[in-house]
Amino acid sequence: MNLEQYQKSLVQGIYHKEDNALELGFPRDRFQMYRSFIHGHYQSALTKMFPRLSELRKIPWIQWSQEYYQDYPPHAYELNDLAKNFHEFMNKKYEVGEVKDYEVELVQYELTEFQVFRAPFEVEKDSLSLQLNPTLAVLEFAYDIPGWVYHWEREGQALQGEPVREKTLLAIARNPETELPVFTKLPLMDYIMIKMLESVKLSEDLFIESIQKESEGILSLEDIQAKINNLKKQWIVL
Amino acid sequence: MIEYLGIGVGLRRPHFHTVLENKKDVDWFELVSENFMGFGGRPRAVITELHRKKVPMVCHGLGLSLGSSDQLNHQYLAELKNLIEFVDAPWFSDHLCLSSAKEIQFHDLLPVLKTEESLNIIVNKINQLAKVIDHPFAFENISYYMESSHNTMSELEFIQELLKQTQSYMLLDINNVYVNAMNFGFDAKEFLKAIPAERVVQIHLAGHDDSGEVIIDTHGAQVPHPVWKLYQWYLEHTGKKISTLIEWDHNIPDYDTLNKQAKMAKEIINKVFS
Repeated sequence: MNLEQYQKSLVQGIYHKEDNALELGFPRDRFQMYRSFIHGHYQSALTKMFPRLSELRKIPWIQWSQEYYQDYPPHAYELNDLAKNFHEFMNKKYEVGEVKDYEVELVQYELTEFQVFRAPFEVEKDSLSLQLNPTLAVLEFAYDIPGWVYHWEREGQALQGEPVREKTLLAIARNPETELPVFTKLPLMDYIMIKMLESVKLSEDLFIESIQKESEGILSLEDIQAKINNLKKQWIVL
Repeated sequence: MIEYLGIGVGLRRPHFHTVLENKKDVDWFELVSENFMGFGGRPRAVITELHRKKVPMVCHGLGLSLGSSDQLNHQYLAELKNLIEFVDAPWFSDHLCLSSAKEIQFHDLLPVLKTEESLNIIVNKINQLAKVIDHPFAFENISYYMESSHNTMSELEFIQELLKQTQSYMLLDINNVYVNAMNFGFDAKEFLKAIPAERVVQIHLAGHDDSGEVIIDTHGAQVPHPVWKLYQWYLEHTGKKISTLIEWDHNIPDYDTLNKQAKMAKEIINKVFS
């Protein structure tokens, strides 16, 4: 057997459960051991990344991780990157009625929380313009997922019932001092301000001026300044 | 000449706070490269601070997949090189295994096919690595639970050839030698004697699970007595102080427990070289 055949057979045997241990020259039980180890790593990494969903759906969780393991063998060397297709996987489950829409949103929430936690933090030094936190992620939910999660954290027990159906805009950004993610529910105007900051670089004064124009004078300079200060307090703007 | 660093432990997330305050009996840290490559946030902040305090750090990876015929991944190498240079690692290491094949990751260490073809591929990869990363490289012997009947060389012959045909160093995992010797019925001391000691730059010590039919290398327990004994014997046999690392990756204990293991390794070194 050459190396090419050996590798191809390993992948088939590990991820597609082909009974090819003997072809690889391995005892069946030992090859099965490796298959279990690898699936175990996969399941444990997914459970760590989706602690709430795995708790909420304890029964299908093992089955889901097995299906996901076969449908999306990992291509990235970083173990945590294996979760990046999990949202797509859950969306497919939603389309066939196996999961609820809010569970798909919970996946998006948990995945983004992790991505913000590990994102590189690089800011433009000596910049005179307002800068968005480089780790910032803004999510749009049909349900109040952050309120639901907050309740879970506060009560210290698994999520119960369903989240409230309420359109929710959520900003997640990492506090560079504590290195922990900060979660902020965004009013629509704050969301618009963030979107503007994503597209233009302006000094604080010019930004305030342009927001006032945009709001056709409804917001006063003080209102806008207070909003910017609040975005800074939440580490959304630096 | 690669310097002797003393006794180290793996730098793990639950200990970040403690190691910055007081690293106690630990002389250096080993980073799992993939846990720090491309990461910002707390992991980056911790290694920045340790580097500022001039604490030596060595990078130990899982992703090179030396034993596969896939090309070395350029993006991976670039990120690894950045990390190695950032912490100024005196050497870096990875495993003599397949951790991926056909661009699919296993996230586990599978045994290499021990044939001439496989050996040539690994030799080429190690030589390519030396051209990209200007720091010494060491490969580590893994624990394995199956040996392919298609192998044409033993593990020892394969390692010896690899050391002959490259400038690479070796990270000798004494626990893995013990586990393999017990599972496959060979003499661990004979195996260790046949490895050229001048090429061994680092030793790994770890715990295993000896409760079933097969001994499993878990990295999730204290170093067991027979492994301490084998370690002491190896130091006496080679007469060489070798940088040693306590590996504990699962069921990670509090830092004091880990520190006690480091202290035990230090006591053995002191006893052997007093």
